[in-house]
Amino acid sequence: MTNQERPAVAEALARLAGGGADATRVADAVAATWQQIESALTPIIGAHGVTALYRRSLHLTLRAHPWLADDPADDPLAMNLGTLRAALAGRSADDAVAAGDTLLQTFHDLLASLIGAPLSRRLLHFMWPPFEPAADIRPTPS
Amino acid sequence: MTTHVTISRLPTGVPGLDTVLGGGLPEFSFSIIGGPPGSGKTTLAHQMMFAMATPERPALYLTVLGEPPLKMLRYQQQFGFFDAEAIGRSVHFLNLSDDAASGDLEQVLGRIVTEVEARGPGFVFVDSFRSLLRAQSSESNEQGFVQKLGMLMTAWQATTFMIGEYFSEIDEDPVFTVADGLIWLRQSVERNSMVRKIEIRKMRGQPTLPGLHTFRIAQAGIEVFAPAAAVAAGGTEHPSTATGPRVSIGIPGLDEMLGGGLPRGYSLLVAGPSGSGKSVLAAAFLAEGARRGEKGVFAAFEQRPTLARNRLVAGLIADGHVGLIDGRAVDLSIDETLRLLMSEIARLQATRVVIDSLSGFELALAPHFRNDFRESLFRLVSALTGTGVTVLLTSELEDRYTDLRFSPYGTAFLTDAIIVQRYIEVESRLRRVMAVVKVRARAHSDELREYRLTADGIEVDAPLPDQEGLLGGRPTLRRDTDSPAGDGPKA
Repeated sequence: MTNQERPAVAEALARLAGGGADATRVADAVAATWQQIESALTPIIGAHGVTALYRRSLHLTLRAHPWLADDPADDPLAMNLGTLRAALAGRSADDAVAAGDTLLQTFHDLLASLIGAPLSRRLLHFMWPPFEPAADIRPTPS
Repeated sequence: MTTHVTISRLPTGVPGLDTVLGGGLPEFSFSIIGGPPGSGKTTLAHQMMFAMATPERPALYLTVLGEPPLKMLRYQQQFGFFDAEAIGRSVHFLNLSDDAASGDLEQVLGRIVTEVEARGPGFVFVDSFRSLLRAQSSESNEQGFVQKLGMLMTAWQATTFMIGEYFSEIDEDPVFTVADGLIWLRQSVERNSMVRKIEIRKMRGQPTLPGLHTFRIAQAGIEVFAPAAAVAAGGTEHPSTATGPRVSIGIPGLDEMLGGGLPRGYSLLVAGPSGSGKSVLAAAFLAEGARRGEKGVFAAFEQRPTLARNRLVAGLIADGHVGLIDGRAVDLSIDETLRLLMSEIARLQATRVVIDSLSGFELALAPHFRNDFRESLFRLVSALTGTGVTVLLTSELEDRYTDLRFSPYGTAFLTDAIIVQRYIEVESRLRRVMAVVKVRARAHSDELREYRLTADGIEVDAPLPDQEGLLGGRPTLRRDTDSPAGDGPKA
């Protein structure tokens, strides 16, 4: 996959970490992006559809980042973004960026494999340049 | 001055469907697209949606508990009409399964109203409303829900489609009463052939074409084949055949036998046994057209590629004088064949058409259609000649010397002219004779003329005045022919 075909969110996360943000801020940014994805896709493919794709992406991401695993007490049919945020915040900023990037990238690839890259890009346009980062993702001026 | 309201009719974007609907889809109508699973309902809905929706009049596609939307998007994308660019601009998908799961139809209705108010759609699709209604506890709500939804959508000036799966052909549903239109899709399977059919069971306020119409789902989407008569009605007017010029067959001698060529716009059946030269005659007919600057269309229904044996036709096709319709596709219907012919005729502005042969054509049809072959063929020939083209059909006719037949299937009545070819035995050789049996409303020769197949085509010879009983297959010398051949009986 060329850089042209990668969502820009991953770059924004890297910039965030490079700007000295801690893991908690990276975790907030990842969670905020998931909320955006959820609100963009739920009206179209339904909450169950989004959750199923999220959980499949998480499962695939666990191979590289096993520490992202769900809390066994969590609902296996929900997105559990609280658990994700806590797991990311508990690691180093670099770990959080790497895992958040992999998870979002995996989700995008999974969606594209099902409905095609052009439509995925159209539905998740906010993840692509020209990128307008959500408030949580924007680095604080130091 | 008329005070009647004028209902706009919207082009559906599905080839052939507007004709069957009687001129398009009435604006602000409320229709049900029904049929069994796999009959093409969702595909039809999507094709119409992508064709009709614009950013000013967007479409809202509501998915409810039926096919998961993720899969629907995945599979519909395989069709040529699917336009990813339109999504979010002129086409909006909305999943209502969470609202539907509540079991409260009022809540679903409320959600639909909210979305319609927010988006102001020109088109609303609910896929599938049957699964939505099935999820409810009370059946009495069904009709009320559909009625309310229909009223709301009409008030919002949205043309609405409810997609619903019905497992039985005779399913009657109270909501049919409420709907303005009922578009029904079916599949009929016979042996290993499957034929898709569409029926407009109801469309308020307009003259739809009754009955079942075949359609095909291909990569480009759905194409409906309107019946022959409707297609012909849209054809170009042709000059009166009573006074129009004659069409030369291109075989010296044969034109004379026909009384000076075939009247333009006539249909001609060439019937004869295997090897009698029917296809050679057909090729000469097209070649003569090409020589005169006329285009032709050749519909090949022979199992063996006709082109391999008919180099003349292959050359005409290669040079662009003749368009080819390969009739060896599976499960054809007469209406589909007609549509193929008509579009090729229109493309080339063709004036000559050959169908080679009727026997092959019958075999190419889905078994389902063979029962009405004669009737459908009649419609096909009428539709073609109705556009002014001259049609030549070949037909295999087994020689029988105990009875005299001019065509198989009793098709003789459906063409304007008939030429019969026949083998005879003379001096232990198989020789060929042909005769013009009929040319409607025209004088023609009644001679049986011998002809030969040569490298250049067909050469028509003189009649065989010294032989009699030709039609019995074994002619004998006339007893009174003492004089040299050609003198005929003494006066």
